[in-house]
Amino acid sequence: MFQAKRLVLAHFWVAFIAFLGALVLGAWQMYVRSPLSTWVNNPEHYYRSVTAHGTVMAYVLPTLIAMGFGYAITELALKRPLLGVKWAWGGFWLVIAGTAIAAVTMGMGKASVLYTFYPPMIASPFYYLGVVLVVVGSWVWVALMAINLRAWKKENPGASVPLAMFGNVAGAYLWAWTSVGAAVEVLVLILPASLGLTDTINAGLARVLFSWTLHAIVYFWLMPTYIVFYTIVPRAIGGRLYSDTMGRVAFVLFLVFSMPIGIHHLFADPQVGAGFKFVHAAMTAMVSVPTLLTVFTIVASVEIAAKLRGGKGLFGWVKALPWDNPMMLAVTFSFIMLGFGGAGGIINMSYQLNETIHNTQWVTGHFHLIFAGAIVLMYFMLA
Amino acid sequence: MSAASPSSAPPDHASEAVSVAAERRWAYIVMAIIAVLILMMVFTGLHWASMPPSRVETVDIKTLHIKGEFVESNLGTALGSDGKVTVRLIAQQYSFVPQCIVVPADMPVTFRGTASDAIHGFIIGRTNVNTMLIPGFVATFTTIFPRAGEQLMPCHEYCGTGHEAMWARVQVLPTAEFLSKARGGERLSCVPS
Repeated sequence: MFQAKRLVLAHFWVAFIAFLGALVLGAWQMYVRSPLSTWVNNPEHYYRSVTAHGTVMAYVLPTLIAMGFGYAITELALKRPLLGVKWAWGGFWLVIAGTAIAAVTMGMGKASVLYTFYPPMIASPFYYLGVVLVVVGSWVWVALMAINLRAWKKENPGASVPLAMFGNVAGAYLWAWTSVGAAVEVLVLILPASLGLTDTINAGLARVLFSWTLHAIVYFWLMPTYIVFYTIVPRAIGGRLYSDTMGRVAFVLFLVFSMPIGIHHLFADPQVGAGFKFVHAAMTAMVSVPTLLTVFTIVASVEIAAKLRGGKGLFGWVKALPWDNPMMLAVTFSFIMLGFGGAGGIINMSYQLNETIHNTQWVTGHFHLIFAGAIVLMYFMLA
Repeated sequence: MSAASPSSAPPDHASEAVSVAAERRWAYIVMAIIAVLILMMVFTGLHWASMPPSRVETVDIKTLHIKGEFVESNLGTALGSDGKVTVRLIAQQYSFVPQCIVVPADMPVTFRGTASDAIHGFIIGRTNVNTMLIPGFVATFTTIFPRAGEQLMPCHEYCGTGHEAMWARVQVLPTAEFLSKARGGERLSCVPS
């Protein structure tokens, strides 16, 4: 019998584990010394990728989701076929064409200006053209939503618009008005400069116009998510909506208050006076109202679902929720991240505290919590 | 609220009254939170004069380097005859002029800055100094540095490929040391004169 088996294996085990560690270190040394890694640290590629990341996340993804969801709501909530399907396809192809043109321009490194494209930095005109086509495609959707709602109202005089369609059309109108700021900036200031027709640009005015779009666009991203909160979540987890009226109030408040708030991005800017900065700070405080109302209504709706399933107690009902239901988990994560993101947002909008976080990674953290955490999570659920 | 009651929930007037009252209570709480936030902004704005820098002032970008306040010889830190400290600086792709700024501790320091090409901005170390620099506009704000020492001052607005390498340094000197260096009204930077 082989007596020394354990002894032999002990030697071999230690030898091979040490070998594995040395192998990894060797591969790492080869990678560091080779030219394989240089492109990763190329700042030009980095900003090119940040531009593409922002353009897709801010413009392409939410616009296509809002448009697609809007068409679905029109047929499912109004229970009639979508009017203008051909126009809708036209809008879709405009968005696709715009995305493709912008993508090629960014890929060639001709547009590393980030999605906020603050002039006097100027990219190739094709980049702006691509973004404009995406927006024009979405305007087709805005018009179709208005036309479809009108046709439904004509057929159902006096009936109350289904909540999903109410929020959907509020979102469409919000976007129609919101997108005007950046559209004016691009068409009046940036494209002439990019085409070489003008040789100066009012950088301050461009930032003010972009701020008109830059904050309200967030509520355009948010609208599909809130429509899911109000119309799909309560049913999906076996409850009912606590208050339909509150949903309508929230959508209308978004439509009203999302506009006069963009200057809270410009608190540290020299081209805006104290008066406008303060008004926009106060209005940004007001735009948190629909979210605070929504949190109450949706948590109450979730509680109804739990009580219907036999949940008891002040907080004990949480245990009775359908935790194996993906929608339950998604709405929970979405609310947690909306909570952190929203609390941070209160600091951002504050007239004074903003000075401590302006242009720091705090802001990046804030909007990623809201966008990725609260919004895109629900995009996956609605799809 | 009537539209809210689908067929699954039979109308129950007692519970509906409770739910309406709860909803209204929450709406009042929300309004109270918002009112407190806005009042806090008003109070600190008026009482502490704590507000964002908002002096709207323009400068001709085409003659920025040639004449006026932002010619190179006038950049840096100046101790005025009235005892006020002013730092004038320009941001350009991809540096600040001057690259190293000298300021006193425990004295009000007024920054006046602008940009010559793209939009820039800066934040100074762990202080609350934070402003945008926009071509054609002069950013002005006043602050006090409570501690002596050196702080980093990065550009914090994307201004092109070299943005990440755009840094300046701020040397905060003890008040007496600063005052002894600043005599004669010369423009100070970290470069020994």
